[in-house]
Amino acid sequence: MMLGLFTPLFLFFLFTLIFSGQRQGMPTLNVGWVDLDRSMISEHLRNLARSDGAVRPFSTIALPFDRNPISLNQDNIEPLIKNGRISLAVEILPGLGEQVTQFKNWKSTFVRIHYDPSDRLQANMLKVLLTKAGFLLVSEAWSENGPVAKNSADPEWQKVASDLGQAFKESRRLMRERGNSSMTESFIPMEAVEVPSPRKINLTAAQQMAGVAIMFLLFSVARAGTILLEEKNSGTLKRILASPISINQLVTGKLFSTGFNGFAQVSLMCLAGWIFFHLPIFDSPGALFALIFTTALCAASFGLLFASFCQTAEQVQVSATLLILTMSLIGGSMVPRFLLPLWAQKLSMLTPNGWAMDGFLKVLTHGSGFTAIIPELSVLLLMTSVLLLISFAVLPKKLYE
Amino acid sequence: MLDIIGVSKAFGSRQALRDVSFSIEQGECFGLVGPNGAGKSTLINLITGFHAPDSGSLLLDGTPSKNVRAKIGLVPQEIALYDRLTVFDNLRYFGELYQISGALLSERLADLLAWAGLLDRKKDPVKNISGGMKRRLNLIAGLLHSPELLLVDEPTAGVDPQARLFIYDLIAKLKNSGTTVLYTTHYIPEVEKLCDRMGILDQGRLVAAGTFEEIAKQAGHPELSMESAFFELTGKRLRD
Repeated sequence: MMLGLFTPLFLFFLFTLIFSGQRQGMPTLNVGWVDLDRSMISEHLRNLARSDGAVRPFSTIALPFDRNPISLNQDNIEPLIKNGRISLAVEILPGLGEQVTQFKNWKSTFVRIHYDPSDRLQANMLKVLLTKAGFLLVSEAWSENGPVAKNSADPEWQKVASDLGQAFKESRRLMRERGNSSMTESFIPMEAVEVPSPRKINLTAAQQMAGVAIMFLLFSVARAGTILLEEKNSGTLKRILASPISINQLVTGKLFSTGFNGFAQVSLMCLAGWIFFHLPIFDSPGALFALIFTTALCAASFGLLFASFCQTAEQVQVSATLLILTMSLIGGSMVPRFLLPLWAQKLSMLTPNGWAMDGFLKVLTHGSGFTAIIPELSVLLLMTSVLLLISFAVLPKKLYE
Repeated sequence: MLDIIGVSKAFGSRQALRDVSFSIEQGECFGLVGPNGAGKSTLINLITGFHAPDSGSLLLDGTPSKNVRAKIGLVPQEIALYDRLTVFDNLRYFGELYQISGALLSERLADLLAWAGLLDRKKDPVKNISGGMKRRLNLIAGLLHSPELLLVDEPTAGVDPQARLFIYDLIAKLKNSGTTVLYTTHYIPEVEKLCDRMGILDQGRLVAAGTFEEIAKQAGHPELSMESAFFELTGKRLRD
C-alpha cells in the first residue's frame, strides 16, 4: 500500500525535476565544431554559444575501438553524421571575422549547421541558440570597446559604420526573400544543411517504435515475476518442485519463456513498423535479431529481479510501474534524450532503455550492422548478467520459504 | 520402503518436528494423524525435498527421498492447479514435468480423466469447475507418472460425501495395485477405514506408531477406539 501511495508522488517529483531543471527551457546540445575562420570573432562566437551551458561544442571525437581521438574537419563531419557518430555540427567558414568587424561579404553565409535529418528539432534549437550568440557577438563587436569602434577614426571605417544601418535593412530583406522557413532573422547569416541520407525513413516511426516497444516489453516481463509469486502462494510451486525439476531449471525456464515472449512482442512491433511505416527492418537483419534477442533477455532478467525482492503480485506491479516509468523517461522511451537535463542524460546510461534505443536507432535509421552495435549489445548483456546473478542468488531461497 | 530416521526441523524458534522416526513398508497405506500444526505437512515437504531437515534422514529404498522425486507423487493440501489453464492442459503440463509425453501421456490422461469423471470437462478452464472436481483433479495430477510412493496431504478437507467416497475408492485401488501411500488427515475414522497402520503426530513429536491394536494398547486399553486412543495420547487441549 505504501508503494502504491509513494509511486505517483515520486513520478511527479521526477518529471518536474527533469523538465523544469533546464536553462531557459533549452536542453544541452552536443555539437561538433569546425572553425575554419580561426579569428577572434569565431572563437568568441563559440565561447558565447557555450557560455550558458546550452551548447557543448567539441572538436575531437573518439571512435569505438580507437584510442586516439580524431579532430573534426570539413571533410569528416558529414560522414560522421551519416553513420550516426554525431548528430549536429557547426562549420565556421573563412570570412566570418571580416563579415562581423568589416561587414565584408555581408550577403554571404559563413556559419553552417550540419544535421542528421532525424534531429531536425535539435538543429532548430541550435539555430536559435546561435542566433542569440550571434546577436551578442555583433553587439559586442560594434560596441564602444569593440574592434569596429577602434577603427572609427579611419575614414574608410566611418563609411562602413554609416552604411551599417542600410546594410542591416538589406540583409533582412534578402533573408526574408530566401523563403527558408527554418531560418530566423539573425545578425549573422546562418544556413542549416541537412546531411542527405540515401535511406528514406520515417524517423518518427522509428523512434516511437523503439521507445514504445522497449517500455512495454519491460511491463510485460514484469508479469513473469508475478507468475512465480502466484505459483508460490497458490501451492503450485510445491507440486512443481516435488517433480524431478530443480529450482534452477525452473527459474531458467521462466527466464527463457519470458524472453521468448518478449522477443515475439518486439518482433511484432518491428513487423508492424515495416508494414505500416516502411521501417527498414530487413536491411540489417542479423543486427536487428541480435538486438531484439539481447533486449528481450535483459528485460526478462528484470522480471526475475522483481520476483526476487517482492512478496506479492501487487508489490511487483507497483514496483515495476515505478521503476519502468523512471527508466523509460530517463532512457528516452518517452521523449528524446537530448531534451533531458545533462544529469538525466548521464543516468540514461544506467538504463536498458537508453542502450536499446541507441541500438535500434542505429540499425533502423543508419542501417548499422552488427559491429556498430557491439557496445550496445555488450552493455545489455552485462546488465543481464548482473541481474541474473542477483536473481539466482536470492530467488531460490525465497521460493523455498 | 520409506524410512524416516530421527528427523527434526525448526522454522526460526518454532520446532516443527522433533526426532521423528518411523517406516512405511512397500504396498502399505500408512495414516498420519495429528491436530493442526502437528507437523504433518512439514514432514511431507521434507520427503519431497522442498525443505531440508535440520537433522536426520528421509530414505526411499535407501536413497535420500529428495533425490528420487520421480518415484514420488504428491497430492498437496492446497488445490495446486493453474486456474487459467484447462483441465487437460494442467495434467499435460504436470505430466511433462515427469518427462511423460506422447502416446503414453495421452493414454494416462484419458484413463485418469475418465476414472475421475472429468473427461467431459477436460477442455474447461479449472476456474470454471466445481470445488469437488478441483479436488479430484488435484488428486489425479499426482498419479500421472504412476508413482511408487504417493503422499496425500489431507485430501478430504472441505469435501462433500460423494467426493470423499471417490477419494476412498482411489486409495483402495492404489493399495491394491501395490502403490505405497502416506495419508495425512485430521479424521481418524478415515485412517481406520483406509490404512494398514497409523502414526500420531502431536506438536512435532511422533507419540505413537503401529497397527491399531498396538496404538490402542499404548493408549492403555486394547479395546479402545482409535479416536479415544488419540485423545488419550494427545489430550483434549486446543492446539491453535
